[in-house]
Amino acid sequence: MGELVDCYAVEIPIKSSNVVLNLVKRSIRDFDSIPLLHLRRLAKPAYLPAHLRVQLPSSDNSPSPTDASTSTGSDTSPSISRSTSPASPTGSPPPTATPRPQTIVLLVCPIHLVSSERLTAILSTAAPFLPSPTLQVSPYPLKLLTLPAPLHPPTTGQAASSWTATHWPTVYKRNNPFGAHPAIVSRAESEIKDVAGKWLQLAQSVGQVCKEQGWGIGAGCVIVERSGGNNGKERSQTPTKKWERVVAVAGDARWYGRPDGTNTAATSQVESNPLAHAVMRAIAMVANKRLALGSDPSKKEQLLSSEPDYPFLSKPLTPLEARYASTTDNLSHNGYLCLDLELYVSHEPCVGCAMAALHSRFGRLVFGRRMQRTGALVAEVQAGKAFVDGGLGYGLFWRPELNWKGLVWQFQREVDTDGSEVCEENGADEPFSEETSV
Amino acid sequence: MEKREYHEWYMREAIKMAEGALRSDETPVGCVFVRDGKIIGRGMNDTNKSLNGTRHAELVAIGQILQKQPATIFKETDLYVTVEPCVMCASILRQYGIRAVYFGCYNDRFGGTGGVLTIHEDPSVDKPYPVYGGIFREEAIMLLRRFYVQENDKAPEPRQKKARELKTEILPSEIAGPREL
Repeated sequence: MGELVDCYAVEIPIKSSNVVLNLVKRSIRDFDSIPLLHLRRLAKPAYLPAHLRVQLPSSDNSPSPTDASTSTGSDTSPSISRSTSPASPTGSPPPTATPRPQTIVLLVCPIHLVSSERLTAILSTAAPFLPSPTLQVSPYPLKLLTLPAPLHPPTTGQAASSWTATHWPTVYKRNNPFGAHPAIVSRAESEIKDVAGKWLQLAQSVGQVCKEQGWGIGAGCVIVERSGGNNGKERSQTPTKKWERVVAVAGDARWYGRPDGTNTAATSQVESNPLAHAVMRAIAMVANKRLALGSDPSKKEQLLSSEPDYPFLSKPLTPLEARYASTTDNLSHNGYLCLDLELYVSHEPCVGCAMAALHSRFGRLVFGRRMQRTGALVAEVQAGKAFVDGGLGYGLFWRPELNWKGLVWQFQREVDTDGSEVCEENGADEPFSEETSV
Repeated sequence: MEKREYHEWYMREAIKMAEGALRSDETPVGCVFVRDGKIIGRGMNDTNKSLNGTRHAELVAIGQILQKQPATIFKETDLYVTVEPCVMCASILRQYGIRAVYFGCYNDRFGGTGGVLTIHEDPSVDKPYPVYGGIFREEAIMLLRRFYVQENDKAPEPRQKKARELKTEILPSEIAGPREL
């Protein structure tokens, strides 16, 4: 199991859990400084290991008649142990006392963040532990538990179940919180490193054409499909010639004129339209292709190259965009969103576009220019810089909390003499390299 | 919370949109944008029909609004959405300068206004906006649950959900949000 960390837990009436959790989050400094996402924040008493369950106020059967009927079964399996519920089928209803509320156990935080005295003081200001003004409901007994919990996430479902039984309800997420396996990264890198420069060059040109029209900042992107998918999965047994092809290209068109002509480049500062960022547009172009692939040929043209659809601008705006957008011959049938496709962007995408790429299930993304104040991919923050100048630090390609992850590289042309190009991985455990001109 | 009934009225409208999404096999999330008490745009999730994973309710409604109105309108506009905006939508809303966001339940998988990240108030070049959660939270959750017991046959390997049951018990939120109504 590895390292353990001692944590506080407290049993609370289920109805108060939001209030209490809000309170401790607000009151304890660095509350989230140790990520314990693999541990259930709130657990029903029935799902706790027996040695913890017996320490809870709800399992203390002496003072309350409501518990007498159920406490006997309390250390058997969770499904029949209903020590918190007064409505047990086998028990008789309590004659007079107010029924015990349904409870839940809150895992508060590691004990080094706050002393037990201070935590008790904080908790005792929360509603369930205060006497009610009408004195009709007695305050819930405040009892802090201290328990050792696994500090690091489990690597198998089996480990999660066994820790749940011995320590605290633990969740197994089928991924690595620290980044992709190095073998997967190096395999991907070997596939893209010789072509990334070419695609980024195209991305820049695509953005430049739109910029010259006054439509955007000059950012552009290219979506590429690769034979065999991009996880190294060979779809055919016999090795065939490898290929890759451009599926769609799009330039940033955030200042593209509104259909009624009211906004022009002159009013662009107040009218900026993030739905027409390059990545959003290119994703929409792929969607249009998938729709076209699944519809009858007469509708194809309407889907692929009709008039600009403000504000999404998912139809090609320039001949360069049209070259790739107006056909379905450059995309495999039966694909799902942008799964197995690769995204090459001239600039580091903003939060909206980076998450759009995750929603679209891209597995690989390469960007050129680092966007220090708006980019969402780089995880590192430069210390000592004010406001957002040190970077946002989101690392939005590999967040354990999010439901999709991908590989991301910042592309750098090698400065030294041989003129060759290298790809630097912006991995979770590698220091991020300084911005370079592309 | 002041004017709770006022906010609930608009959230009811958002829920109607989410119910529409459920009827058309879309993830049941719905929203309305409100300016001066008037609904200026409505949206429901459209990712399955459009084959575009970014066509969330908020972006669909924004698309509709921007066909008729300038983007500056969002600075005087509030959003009511049944589920917390995702990371993407939270960022897009901030870039448009939305005035405030009211939502039903949190999204603990990719929420952008407190569920997973706090894009609405993090350091950014764009102005932050306030968010208020918990308006008809149970209704929003039950809509999602009704959807997730169905199967997504568009996914590459649809998961077998035949054995899934619709649970009706709703635990209190695990996320300590900024403000509850």
